[in-house]
Amino acid sequence: MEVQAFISIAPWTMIFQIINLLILMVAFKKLLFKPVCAILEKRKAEIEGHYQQAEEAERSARTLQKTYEERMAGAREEADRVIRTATESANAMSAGIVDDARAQAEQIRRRAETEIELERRKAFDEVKGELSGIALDIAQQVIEREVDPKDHEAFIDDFIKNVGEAS
Amino acid sequence: MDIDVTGARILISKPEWGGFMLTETVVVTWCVMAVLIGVCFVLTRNLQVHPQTKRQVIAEQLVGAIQNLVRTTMGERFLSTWYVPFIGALFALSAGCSLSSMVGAYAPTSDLSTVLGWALLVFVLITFNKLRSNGPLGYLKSYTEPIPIMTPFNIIGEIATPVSMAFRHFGNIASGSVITALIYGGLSALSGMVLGLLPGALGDALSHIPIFAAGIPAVLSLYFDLFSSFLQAFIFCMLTMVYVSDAAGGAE
Repeated sequence: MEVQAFISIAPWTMIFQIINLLILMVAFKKLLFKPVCAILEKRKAEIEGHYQQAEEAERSARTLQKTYEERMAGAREEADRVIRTATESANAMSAGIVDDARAQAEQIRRRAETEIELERRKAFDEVKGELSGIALDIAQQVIEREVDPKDHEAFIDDFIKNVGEAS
Repeated sequence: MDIDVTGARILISKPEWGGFMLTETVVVTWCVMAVLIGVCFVLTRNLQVHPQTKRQVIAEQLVGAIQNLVRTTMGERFLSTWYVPFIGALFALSAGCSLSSMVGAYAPTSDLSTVLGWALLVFVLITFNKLRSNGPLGYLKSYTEPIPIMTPFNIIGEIATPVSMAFRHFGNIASGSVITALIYGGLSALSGMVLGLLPGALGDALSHIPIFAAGIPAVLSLYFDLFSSFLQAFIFCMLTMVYVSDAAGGAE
């Protein structure tokens, strides 16, 4: 078999080797760099997406927190207002009840006084009637004659009045 | 015993086709390319956004390493160009061709034609980049700088770039194989000579077995084949990157 010299330049070999290198370059680009770079890009995009998602989640959480805080403050105010209103109305109601009770008590007292007065007058009248009868009897016995109540009405009344004042 | 130091075997020779010949160099290069393309194919099979295989991690590391090398040596602007796969291919092919001697094949990089072809390609890239960054007139003018009398030296310097690159690579790999062959032959001869001193049939039989040739060449091969292969590939790539990025001028 023919053999080249140790140091030799073969144009065809050079052309072949240049083409070989270029072919390998294209093969590396298509088979190694392109797919790996595509995957790396995809990973980068995914990581960026994750970051964006995290940022968005944080933002929405913050908004939510703010809303809650506002709502909580509002609720507290509302509760205060409700309590105040309730207290006021309760106070008003209790005052009304007390007033009512006082008025009723007053009314009852007044009615009782009236009744007492009536009773007293009735009893007085009764006693007066009886007393006039008794006075008549005594007088009849004293003077031993009929005393006409009509004739001596003024006299009897006077007597009773004296008795009443004395008693 | 004879030690032949020759070039590649010529497998097909057709002088009538403009001196066409297919040598061992090219065939071994094809085999190396087939292996490299096969490795690429296996490494990038079934890639996932979340890597689950060692293959993918290796592929990503390789790509990252080459991109990093190009970025640090040539700059950011060459990162998305064909230079990245070119440097990757140059390194892999150079190292692979040199390493092919470890499996007993002829190393294509110990053929001057191989590395000279690559160096010429680099020369074309350098010239193309110079023309693009300076313009045709600026490129021609750059030969007359700093003074017109320097023009011949500038031309020699320009040509010396690819030639020196080619000879450096060729010389290192080829001399490594020559030294390995010489040591192997020398140790075999020594073995035959020393063991031939043994008396009788024993010495006669042992002297034909090159016992001394076992071991020592393997250690030397570690340097000349393994270390030197990667080193020369790296140097060739570094020089290519430096020359090309230099030719392309400052950062745009």
